[in-house]
Amino acid sequence: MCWAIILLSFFSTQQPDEMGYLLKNIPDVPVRTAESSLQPLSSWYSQKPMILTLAYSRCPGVCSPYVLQIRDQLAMQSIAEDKFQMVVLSFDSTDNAQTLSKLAGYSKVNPPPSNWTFAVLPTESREELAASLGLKWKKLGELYDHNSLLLLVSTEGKILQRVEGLPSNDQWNRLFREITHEFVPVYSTLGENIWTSCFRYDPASGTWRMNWGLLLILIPSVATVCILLILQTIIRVGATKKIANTKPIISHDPV
Amino acid sequence: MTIQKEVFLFFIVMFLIIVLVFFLVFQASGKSGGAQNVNRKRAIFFFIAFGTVLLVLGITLPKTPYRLFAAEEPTQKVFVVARQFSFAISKFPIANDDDFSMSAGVEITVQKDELIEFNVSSFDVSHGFSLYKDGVLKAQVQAMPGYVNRLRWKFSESGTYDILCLEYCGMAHAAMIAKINVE
Amino acid sequence: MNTFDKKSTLLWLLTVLVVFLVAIAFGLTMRMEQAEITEIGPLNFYILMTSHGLLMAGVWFVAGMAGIQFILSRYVEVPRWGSVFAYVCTVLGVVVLLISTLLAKFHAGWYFLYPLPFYAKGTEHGLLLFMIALTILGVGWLMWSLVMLASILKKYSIAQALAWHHIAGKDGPAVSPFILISFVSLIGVTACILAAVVLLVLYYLEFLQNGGMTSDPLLMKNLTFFFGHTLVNEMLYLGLAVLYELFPRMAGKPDYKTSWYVGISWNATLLIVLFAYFHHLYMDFAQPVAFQYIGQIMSWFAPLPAAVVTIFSVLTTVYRSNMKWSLASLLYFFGVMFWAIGGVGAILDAVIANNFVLHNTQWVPAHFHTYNLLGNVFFSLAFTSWFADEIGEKKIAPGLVKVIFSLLVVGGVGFVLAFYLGGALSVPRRVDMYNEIVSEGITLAKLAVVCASLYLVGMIIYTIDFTRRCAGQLFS
Ligand code: HEM
Ligand SMILES: [Cu+2]
Ligand SMILES: [Cu+2]
Repeated sequence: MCWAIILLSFFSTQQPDEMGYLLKNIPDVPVRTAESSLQPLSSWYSQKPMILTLAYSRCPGVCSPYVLQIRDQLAMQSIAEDKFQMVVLSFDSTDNAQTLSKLAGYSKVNPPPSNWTFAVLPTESREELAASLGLKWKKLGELYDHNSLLLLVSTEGKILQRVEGLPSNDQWNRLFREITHEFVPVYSTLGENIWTSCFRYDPASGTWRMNWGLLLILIPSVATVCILLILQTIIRVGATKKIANTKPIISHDPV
Repeated sequence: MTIQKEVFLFFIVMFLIIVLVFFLVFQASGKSGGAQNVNRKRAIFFFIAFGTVLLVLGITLPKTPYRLFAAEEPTQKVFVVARQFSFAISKFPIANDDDFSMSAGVEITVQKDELIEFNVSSFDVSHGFSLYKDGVLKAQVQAMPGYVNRLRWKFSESGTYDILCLEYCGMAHAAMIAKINVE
Repeated sequence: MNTFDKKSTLLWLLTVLVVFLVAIAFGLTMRMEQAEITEIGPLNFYILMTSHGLLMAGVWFVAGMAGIQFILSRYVEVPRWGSVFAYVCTVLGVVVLLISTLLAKFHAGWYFLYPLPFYAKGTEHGLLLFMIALTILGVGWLMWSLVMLASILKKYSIAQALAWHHIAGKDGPAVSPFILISFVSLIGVTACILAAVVLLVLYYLEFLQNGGMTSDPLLMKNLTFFFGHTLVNEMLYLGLAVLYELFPRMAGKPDYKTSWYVGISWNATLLIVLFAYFHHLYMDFAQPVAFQYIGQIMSWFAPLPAAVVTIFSVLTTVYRSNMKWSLASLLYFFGVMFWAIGGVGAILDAVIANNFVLHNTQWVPAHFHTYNLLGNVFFSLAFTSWFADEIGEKKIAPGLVKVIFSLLVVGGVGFVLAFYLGGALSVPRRVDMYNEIVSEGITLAKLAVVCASLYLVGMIIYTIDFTRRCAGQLFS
């Protein structure tokens, strides 16, 4: 376990070689699911963006902590399940949906969320997909030596993001932003020590919400109106007092 | 003709009209008689001005850069980060200082007519990101710290575009220039 | 006219003229640097730019104050301490400001866009002094506005001062356009100074926390332009209020009356002006699109009531009148003309689609210099000239009127034209030198240097003549 963590941290500090992959189409290969039928990969990404990761359940190394980390990160975000599709794909033909589900820490009593799918890549299409995603794998006896990949695929089948190893916080944030909206002209990277802002970017819905900082823009106008009313009241009261003071003199006058 | 020059010509025409009107009235100031039907003329004047404003708003409001090419999928993302006093421009996200120094000063090349999405931000003060071709300003967006402004753009000409900082950002503001190649 | 009003107004105006000459000299030096005639370097350039912008905005606001106060004292009793307090604060504020820029090297531009002031290393003292200067000016001007508002409220209620009874056609005291417009402008001034207060408080907090707290740059930019844009806008209206009072008399016509449409237009202006500043944030895609559209709509409607009513009134007043043209009436009449022209430049830039290629080019200084240099300054100089005619023993020579007026108009028009051309040719604003991409800027700067010098000569002659005619009154 300890070893796995060291390996993970090594992966995560590597500079991701994302350039060659961004916005390229992935091949729409058939994969095998729990129902053991072959289904094209597009049946998951054609409706909503797909987060794709590759792993195999017998992995003695990074696969288990890697998938668990992804699971935890996704659970921490309050992004609705119908906003994206999560696919864990195994390149080991001895795998099946059950073993993969177990790898992700799910079981019959603790089933995966509805937007999770576990599938196995048939040996025939392994090369093609691996090449397009940049998956490096080598068979070492019964096991595989491989890199850990997390990909975000658009509904057109284009790679929107490709992370080798565990994503950094920034990379996670970018991923969440990508899945929660199609096109927003802006997104926020405001730091932590901002005490308020005009608007808040809400990653769950991908929209901007007003924040109470906006009230600060209203203060000057509201305060001006208040000041005016106060001034008028003070002046009015002052004026009636003056009249009250002069009254006795007037009432004495006729006498 | 560039938009800027069209605006300038329109301005000059308005300039001349206004000067002419004031000059004619000035000339008429010695004559006797006074203005007639002032109220009616004022009402006509007002309604013409009001109608013009509505017309111009109706024509120009739909043409904003915010939703430029919003319906299409960009084929290339370009990440831009500004920092006193240089730009880092890259096809990778630029998340930290290391990313910045890797891309600063590197000229990238993009395709003509492809839809590019510029993701523009700043690591320190507000800067401006503007695209110049042969000295003509074609497009711009602010680079504000804490925000990533997305500008979608298609380059219609091939060659080198100059990127100038258009928001005063300190002493070397004038020298904050980068380039992007279009093939 | 009592001697206090006379002397204090005279002092205000003399101060304005002197500071104006200094600020023009700064502007001229900037243009000379851009024309590559001088070589003062970027730091000095931006120090001058910061000083110039704030001095100009300040000094013409103050000139508007002087006019308002003088005319207002004909209607209501205006407490003297308000004027004295504002004068002391203004002079003190300007001195501290010049120390912060010229000596302590503060150079973040007159509206010091957040967070730039915190990123100029070695100018922390400059920033503090600058904030203190703004605080002094802010306190002085806010007090002054409140004193003026209170003076008006002593005679009229809020509803009356806003001419609501004129709009509704009900009975009530006759409220002159001067009172209405001053009241509206003073409300706007109060609001924008309060915005500056919020902004300054946030600056102070961040300064004291030394990086422990930062603010949202978008919020700060909104506050900055609420303050900056609105102040510049209202200072023009202060000048206009005086015009409404003085101009018809110059033409030998009856005083302007507050009719229902005058009432409506200035009430509308009061509201619309507060939203127009959004047009400064068009290129911040972070600002919600709805705000951007409101910005363009309000920017286009803002000039409609005030400008249509004013321009039309001024034109019909002059048309077939017995106007005896003096320097004051010439400046008023043509000031309105240039105000209209600058307004056209402004609303063209306020079209979002145009702003996409005009924002932060020289089109921006082009339009605001038009309605300041040739509009607002003309209004205030008109008041100054009228004032000199009222109190001075000596008359201005008719030949001098022609010389001064021609120098100001020719110099001013040429100067702003160089900026407009710069905008048309994509020349950026606020750069101390033009690189080869926008090298046309150098030629234009040379043209501007010649024209600005003419304007400066005109102003020097004007100031000398004004001093010759009136300065004696200060000590009489
Ligand atoms: C002949 C007189 C004047 C000259 C020569 C002059 C010159 C200049 C120049 C060269 C700039 C910098 C332009 C740029 O961005 O590249 C400037 C900016 C400015 N001017 Fe003037 N100007 C004059 C009169 C005025 C007046 C009358 C006002 C206002 C009442 C004014 C207000 C400003 C402001 C607010 C700025 C912006 C400063 C900034 O960007 O921070 N100027 N002026
Ligand atoms: Cu910059
Ligand atoms: Cu800059």
